[in-house]
Parts: sequence; C-alpha cells; structure tokens
Amino acid sequence: MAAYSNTARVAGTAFFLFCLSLLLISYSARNPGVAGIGSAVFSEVTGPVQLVSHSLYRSVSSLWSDYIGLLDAKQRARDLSARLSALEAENSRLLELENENARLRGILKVTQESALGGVVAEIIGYDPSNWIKAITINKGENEGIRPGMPVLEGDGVVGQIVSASRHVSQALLIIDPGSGVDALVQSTRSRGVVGGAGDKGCEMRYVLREDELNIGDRIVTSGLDGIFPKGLLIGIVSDVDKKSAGLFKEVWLKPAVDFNKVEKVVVITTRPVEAGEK
Amino acid sequence: MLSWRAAFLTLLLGIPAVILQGSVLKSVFPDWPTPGFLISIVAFLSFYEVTPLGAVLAFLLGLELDISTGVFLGPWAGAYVVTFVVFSSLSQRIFVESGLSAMVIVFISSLLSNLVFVLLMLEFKSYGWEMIWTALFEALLSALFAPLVLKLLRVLLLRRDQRGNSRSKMVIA
Repeated sequence: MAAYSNTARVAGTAFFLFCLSLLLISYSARNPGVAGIGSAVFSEVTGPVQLVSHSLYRSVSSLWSDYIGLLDAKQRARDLSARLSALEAENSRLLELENENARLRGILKVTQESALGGVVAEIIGYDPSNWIKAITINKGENEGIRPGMPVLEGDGVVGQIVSASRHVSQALLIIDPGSGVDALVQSTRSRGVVGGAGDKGCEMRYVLREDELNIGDRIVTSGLDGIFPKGLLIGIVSDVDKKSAGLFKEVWLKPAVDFNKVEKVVVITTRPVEAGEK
Repeated sequence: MLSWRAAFLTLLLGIPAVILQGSVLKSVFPDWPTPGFLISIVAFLSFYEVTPLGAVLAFLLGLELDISTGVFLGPWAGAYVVTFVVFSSLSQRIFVESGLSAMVIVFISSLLSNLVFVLLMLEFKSYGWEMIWTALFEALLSALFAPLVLKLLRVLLLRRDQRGNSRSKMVIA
C-alpha cells in the first residue's frame, strides 16, 4: 500500500512538472527574453570556469600544434613561399578592384560598411546539448552586446545573440533549425528566408519555383529583417530541388562560415539603421 | 533516499556536467556529438530516489540544461521528467549496480529523453532524419561513460550503508 502510494505521489509530481515544462516552453516561446535572463545569470556563474577550461585547452593544443608545426616547418616554408608569389599577384588585382569599388561607392553614395561598430569576441563554449546549435562568447553587456545583435566571421554570417550577461553572451547559429535570416540571391535578387538544417547546413525557404537559381550562387543578407546589415555572405547554393511540388523550391546552402573551425567572431553592436544614419 | 544535502549536491553536479558537455568536450571534438552526463544523473535518480524529490531534481537538472542554452525554457526539463518516470517505474525490476545494465539504462534513457525533447520542440523546430545518428551516437557515448558516472554518483551522494543496498531486486544483466 505504501509502495503504491509512493508511486502515485511520484507520478502525480511528475505529471505536474511535465505540465509546468509545457507552460514554460509556451511562455518562453512568446517571450524570448525570459530564457535569456536565466541564461545570463547561469553564464555569469559558469563563464569564469568556461574561460579557464577554454584557455587551458587552447594552451595545450597550441603547444602540441607548435611541436607538430616544427616537424614539417621546412616543407611548409617552401609551400608558403610559392603561395606568397601567387597571393602577391592576386593582391595587386584585388587592390585594383578595391579602388574601383570605392569609386563606385562614392558615385552611388552607399553607406560605408565601416560605419558599423563591432566587438571582437572569442568562442569559449558550445551548447551542451547536441540539438541546439549555439555558442558562448567571452564578451557581454559590458562591451555593449545585447540580445538580437548579429554575429559575423569575416564577411560571413555566424548567427545572432540570444542572451547576454555582463561578461559572456550566447549566440544562436544560423545552422540551428530555429534561426531565420532574410536573404537574397546575389545575382538574381530572388528573395527567401535562410534557416538552419542542422548538420546539412542551411536551407533557403520561400524561394518561388519560377525564380532562377543555380548551384554555386551566392546568398547574401537582404537587410530587410532589420538585424543583419545588407550584403553579408550567408552561404553558397549547394543543392536545388526543382522537382518538388508546391509554390516554392527546396534550396540547400553550404554556409560561408565553417562552424567547426571558427574561433573568433565579430558582434555588430550598431544596428543597420543607426549605421545608415551615421 | 537522498538527504537534502545530497539533493543540493546533485543540482550542483549538474553545473560541471553542463560545462563538460558544452565547453570542454565540444572545444576538443567540435565535429562530434558529446556524451550526456546529465542524463546519467537522471538515470541515477530514477533508481535511487524514487520519490517526488527525485522528479523535482530531474526537472531542475533539465532546467539547468535549458537555461544554459538560453533559447527555450522547459523542453529538457520535460524530457528528463518523462525519462525519470519511465525508469523509476522499472527500478524495482532492474539491478543497476551492474556496469552493463547501467550502460543499457543510460543508452535507452538518452534516446528517450532526446525523443521527448524533439517531440516537445516539434512546434518550433523541425529536425532532419540525420539527427537520428546524432541521437544514437550521443546515447552510445553516454552509455560508455555511464558505469563510471554512476559509480561516482553512488560514492558522492549515497551514504555508506545505502551503496550496496539499492532498491533494485531483479538482475537483467
């Protein structure tokens, strides 16, 4: 009888807690900031430990890579010398293009990209579950980072800040199925929304069937979502399913950023609109 | 039954587990899924703390994982509560001290919690079929570490007289 009573109490408590979790999911979906508050407090507690463990790992791995690097330094020096010659030639061509670009920008009075303020941050952690693609970075509110700010690497889109504490922040990557970026096909200006497809990279949704789109096309941010500045590279089209029925095509992208290798990112702290005003 | 001190320690252990899963292992092996240490703690609770407190601890451990992510509150908490209930109902029939049975239990717990998580998130995210491999691999890794984690938890959380005297009666492995 006592065992039955205990089982009933456990089942009752579990049922109540499960209902509570459903309520929490529903509430945090409507108010994304709520999850961010808890996360900020948690990050503030775990941040220093994450920083220490990350720097410890970096020190050990760089020591190891330095040692390995010495072993084939001679061969690499020869290879690098050959690459240097090729890059010098390419550099002079790019300088020419840059000059031309600056002239065109002057003519079109396009806002200079440098008007956007950014904070460079290092990745110190990843989401502990394997189901949400998110990173933790070592900069937070003290450096002006706020939820909703875009995160970039080079000129490639990494994701968006979802929560920020004083010293660390978390960003949802564009490869997470829950993310979304308003995008354009650079060559044809067809529009769509890029969302994550997990390990398959990204998917561009809502591209009309009649829109011209080919493998290798560059997909850039449209700037219409008011979060990401216009013209940032999201990825390259890797597959287009033209056979599928319906209004839209299925378009798959290879992200511009290699998320397994990225170490440092830039958080854009000036909103595109503010940058335009400057 | 766990003391209040042990219950609090269980929650505290969730923090290094989250850091180990999210920061340390993913920095070293960015391409690979990482083992779930939290699910091993939930599996431990479902055998050694078959009380309402056990359910609350499973819920709070899941909430720790949700909070560390910062996107949604609740999905992992719900998934861990379901896992706790399923395995606590089996706790009278399984001998968890055996390393092999600990591995099997954590393997199934991990798959079950991932399945419940995906079902709870279905409204907001659609995961591709390739995530089955991620779930299987994660479950396998969690199972590999399970005997060690469960032994550690027994030493840290149970009193000396409780360690060799779990509620488990029947041997399945």
